[in-house]
Amino acid sequence: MSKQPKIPVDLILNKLAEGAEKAQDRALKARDVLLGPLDTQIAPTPYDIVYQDDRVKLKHYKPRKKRVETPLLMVYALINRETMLDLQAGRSVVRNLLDEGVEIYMVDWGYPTRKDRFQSIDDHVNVYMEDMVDFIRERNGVPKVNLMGICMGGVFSLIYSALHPEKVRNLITTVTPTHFDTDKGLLHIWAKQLDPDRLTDTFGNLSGDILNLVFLLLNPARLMIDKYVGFVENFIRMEKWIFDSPDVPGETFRQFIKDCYHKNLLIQSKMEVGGRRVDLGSVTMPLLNIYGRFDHLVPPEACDKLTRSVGSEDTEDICLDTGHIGIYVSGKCQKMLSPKIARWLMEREGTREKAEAVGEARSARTAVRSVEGKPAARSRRKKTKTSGSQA
Amino acid sequence: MSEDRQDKSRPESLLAGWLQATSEFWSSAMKSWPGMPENEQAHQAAAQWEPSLQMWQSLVSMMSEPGAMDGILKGVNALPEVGLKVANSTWNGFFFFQQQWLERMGELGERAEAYKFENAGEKMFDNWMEVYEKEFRQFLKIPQLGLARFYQERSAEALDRFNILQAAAAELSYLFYLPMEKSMRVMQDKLKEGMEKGEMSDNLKDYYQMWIKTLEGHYMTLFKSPEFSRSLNNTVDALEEFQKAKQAVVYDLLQNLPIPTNRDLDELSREIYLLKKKVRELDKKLNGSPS
Repeated sequence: MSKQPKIPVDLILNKLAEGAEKAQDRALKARDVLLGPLDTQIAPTPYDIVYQDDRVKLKHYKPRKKRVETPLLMVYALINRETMLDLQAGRSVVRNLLDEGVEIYMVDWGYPTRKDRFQSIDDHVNVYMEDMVDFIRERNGVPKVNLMGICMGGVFSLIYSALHPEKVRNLITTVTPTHFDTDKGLLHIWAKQLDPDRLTDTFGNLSGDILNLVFLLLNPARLMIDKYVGFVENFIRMEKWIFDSPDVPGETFRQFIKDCYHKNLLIQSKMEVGGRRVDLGSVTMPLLNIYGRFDHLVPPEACDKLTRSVGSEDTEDICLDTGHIGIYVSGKCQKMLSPKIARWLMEREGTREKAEAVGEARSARTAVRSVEGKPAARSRRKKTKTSGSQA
Repeated sequence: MSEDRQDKSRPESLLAGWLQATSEFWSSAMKSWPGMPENEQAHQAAAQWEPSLQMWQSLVSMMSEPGAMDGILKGVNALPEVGLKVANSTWNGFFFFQQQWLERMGELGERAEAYKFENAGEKMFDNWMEVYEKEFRQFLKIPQLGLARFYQERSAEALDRFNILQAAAAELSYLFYLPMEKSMRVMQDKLKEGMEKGEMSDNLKDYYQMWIKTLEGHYMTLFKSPEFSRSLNNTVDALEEFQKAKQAVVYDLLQNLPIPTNRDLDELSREIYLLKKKVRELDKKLNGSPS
């Protein structure tokens, strides 16, 4: 006869009672947070709307002191909103770049409605982006702009740079998927099963609510349960942003899934936009490619092939120890990312001395160490890769 | 005597008796109709009533014929048979499911293997679809007749697609529930193991972390499994088909109301989109710069 383990019932009951007390305290704290004066304002940095075409607006942020002559056009994805780059004071990529002296223009893609369902990638890249770039060039009196893309916005920026290289001085891609033939991320596995033609023909635009649900299902245990066990004010701000999902225009969604997720045409330079082939060999301007090691939406395998596929000789990969949006909202990455981008742009602006001076001052104040790897060699003739979070 | 009673109690004979009585009543009514009234209007009213009475009398006479009654009653008797057939299908389906449920109840005592999702619920939902397609779907696929046949067909199609969507969504929901069930079993095993070794943590948070991690692992395994991909595909396909069928029905309804439909607006949007594109191109050609 096997020996039955003794179950210390009294201890378990005591623990349960303690746990209930703690849970009650937590609930009271949550109630205080929710009912108290909450500051959940997003995008606090002031800007002007300087251009608008249909639902698409162009925001302009002016730095106190301009150190980089060429303005930076930031192109966010069609999924979620660009306000993530300016989530709150103290955690704002926009604010930090402005402090570094970078003049910023940011695309606000707006909220597509059913009438926008026929807008394709060509419309977003060769109409809206093209018009905005020309507007900035004319307004600022510059021949070229700096371009920075985030996620799908990075794909648009890359396509634009390949089709209009004469208008782009420097290109920065962050968490941008370019190689889709991988099974490392759940999105890649699921997207391959999709029939975008049927979806688009049936529903028109891809609903923002469906997108929210899909992203939650990528990790329901963490994103639907664990996330709500204990939260603070910042969490509410993040909740506000994460569920603010516009619809994705149907034709854009159709081509993105078919040409990228199904056929992986972009990295092969076989993708066609507006009847023109997107040849990555035409991307000859300097390229800075930043991605996250723990990004479950756009895994490193989807990002790290870009620099060897473009025509530029001046490229740099930076792999940060963070996830998809951690690059923009993590305090550690915030301290590193904007100074790095500003310095990288300044070096290619023709103001190398100024860039080095700024870089030294920053390094003294923020001693950020790399997790692994060597510091990047700042050579314009070599392709470099930096790991971890070293500036 | 008893045969007489049986004959008299049969529906045909009762109806014949009623018709006979009716015929005699109207005949006597016709005979006792007052003579032609003196004024013109009364005369016209009587003239209008007379053909109706005569028609009713001839109809009743015809129906009291034995052959005519047989024909009518045969058609009436067919209705219960159709109803019986439908009921029979429904009962067959329920009995089949009862058998499935009893079998599943017998499996309750077996351990559910952790991190394994092969054949998870597939059998149960496949059986339901089999029953639905074999027993019930045929009634929705009956070709419709008459002037409104296309509308009826679209409604039946929407109902059919809805049923298929419900089944697919139920299967997908079941798959989402499975990691919960499996993680609970894993937790039970871990707790038992811990108790046997005497390694129980004092902190409830440790158990929560253990559970959430187990749950997370199960979901990751599930989402990469072919079963989940198959079920997700089926659900999305079913949703698309239902959406199309539903839109067709709504379109039919809105035709009678002064409300433009999505289809109408999409056609307009497409035209506007193409026109705008053309205008931009022409503008660029003319001015050599963006508008």
